[in-house]
Parts: sequence; structure tokens; C-alpha cells
Amino acid sequence: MTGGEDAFRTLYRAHTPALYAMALRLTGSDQNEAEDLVQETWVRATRKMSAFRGESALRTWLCGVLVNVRRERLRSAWRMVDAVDIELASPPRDDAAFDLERAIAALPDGARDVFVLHDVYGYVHREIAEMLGVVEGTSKSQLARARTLLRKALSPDEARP
Amino acid sequence: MSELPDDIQRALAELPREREPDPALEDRVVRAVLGRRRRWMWVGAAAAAAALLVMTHPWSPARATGQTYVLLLSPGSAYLTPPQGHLEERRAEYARWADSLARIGKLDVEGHLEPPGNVVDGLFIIRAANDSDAARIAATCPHIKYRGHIEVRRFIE
Repeated sequence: MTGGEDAFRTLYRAHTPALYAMALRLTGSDQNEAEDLVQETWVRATRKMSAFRGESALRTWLCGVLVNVRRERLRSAWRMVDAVDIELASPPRDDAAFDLERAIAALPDGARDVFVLHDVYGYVHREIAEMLGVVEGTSKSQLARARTLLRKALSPDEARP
Repeated sequence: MSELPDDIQRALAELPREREPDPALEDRVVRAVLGRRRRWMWVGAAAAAAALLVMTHPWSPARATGQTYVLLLSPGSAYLTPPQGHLEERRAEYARWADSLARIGKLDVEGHLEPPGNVVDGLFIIRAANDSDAARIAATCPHIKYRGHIEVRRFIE
């Protein structure tokens, strides 16, 4: 093993669990796609090393790279504005530990990306708009849409007229 | 904007922020990042990884004194390759130079690479007071004596 490889493995082990968790949520728990995202993120990150200026935490920067990779992979199917809402499966209400992860995974791609970045990881709309290449208004409308779908999925009684 | 009910917000806050992927992914990623055929991409990727580690590691001495620089060694067109059978001797000379830096606290990471040909290349991450100091240190590397090329990159923390 070389010094470079050793250093890379140390970095990989420190940050990959967080990247993988984010990738899983962005891909709707698609493990194969999440692994591909993580791999491509590291490839891009090491190539774009000079772009990292230490102005943000390394992990934040890596997450931004991951979101960009995800965006590029989705580009052909990217539907931030006119995605068709899908009906979320409603889990049984008496299931005490409702499956929030599953509900997030069932969100439409565009709405899920914004929801995960905003409500799970705490990014603000300005940052999300920049990461995803959309205007802030789109980010806000996708978040509202995601929250509506989640409420409907997780609180079916409340959603009923 | 519509908010989520408290129970969903609490559940969101408790979602795990880390998940362990399949252990096999690590080797896959290492191969993808470092195992490329073009050795100079190899050098660049390894340099980036090593530099990221140095920049972000809590014990990073670069945070305490001086700045971090990466020396990327490439042969260039004028490099004087070692005579047949003398590659190890050449490598040892570079290693002695690296050791001399380490003894005075100037070396952070030594990343020897295994090139396919009979030239010596690699990378070193050093600490230096400023750009001039880094250039001065680079100029003492045996690589210069053999007319190789050294690219000195400063990392902004």
C-alpha cells in the first residue's frame, strides 16, 4: 500500500458512512445506485481537489459533490417542475414505528431531493437551489409538495376530508 | 410553508445520519480512484487524497505552523533515467532526501508510487513557511538533479 492509498482509505472510512446514508435517501433506498453515487463522488472529489478551499467542512463539500453527481445522473429524467405525483402507500396507522424512510423513498425524485436536503440535512433553499441548479422558488414548491405527500402517507386520517 | 406534524419532525431528527455500505465498496472505490491506468492521474488522485487527509486531519501540523504544499514529481522530457539495474539505488536516494525532510519536521506524507517504467516519480506533502520556502525545499530534491519536473501546489486551508 502506498502513502497515497493509505491516506485515501482513511478519508474514505471517515466520510463514506455519511455519504452513503445521504445517497440512500436521495435514491429512494436503492443500494446499488447509492453505492455507484458514493464511488463517483470520491472519483470526482479527488479530481476536483483544487476546488476545495476549506471554506466549508470537508463533509459538506463532499455532500455537495454527491448531490451534483446525483443531479447529473438524473439529468435525462430530471423533472423538478412537472413531475407526476405518485400516490404513496399508506402504512397501517397502528404501526407504532411507521416507516419514515420508506415514505421518503416513495417521494418523486425532485421532491425527495429537496426534502432530504432541507428537512433531513438542514440545507437552506438558497444552497439547495445552487446544488440542484434550480431557482429557489422551485426548491420551496418541491419542499411543500414533499411535505404534503409525506403527511398524506404518514397521517392518512388527517389527510382524509 | 406547510409544516410537518411534531411526531414526523421528531422522527426526522432521529434518522441516522450515517450508514455503513457493503465493505466491498471500499476496494471498489479505491480501484476507481487510484487504480487508473494513466499513472499521472494516479499521482494526482493520490496527491489529492493525501492532501485532503493532511488538511482535514485534526492532528494536521499544517494547521499549527506553516502551510501545506504538495510536490508532484513527473519525469518531463529531459529526465535522466537511471542506468539499467539502478532504479532501486535512485529510489533510495529520493528516500534519503525524504528522510532528511522528516528529520527537520518538514515532511508530512511520503507517497511513493510504482511506475510502469524505469523512472522515479511520486509525491511528497511538505510543510513550508511560504511559497519561496516550498520552492527552495523542492529544489533540493534529487529529482531536480536528474532534470525531472516538480510541480509545487499550495493548499489553501
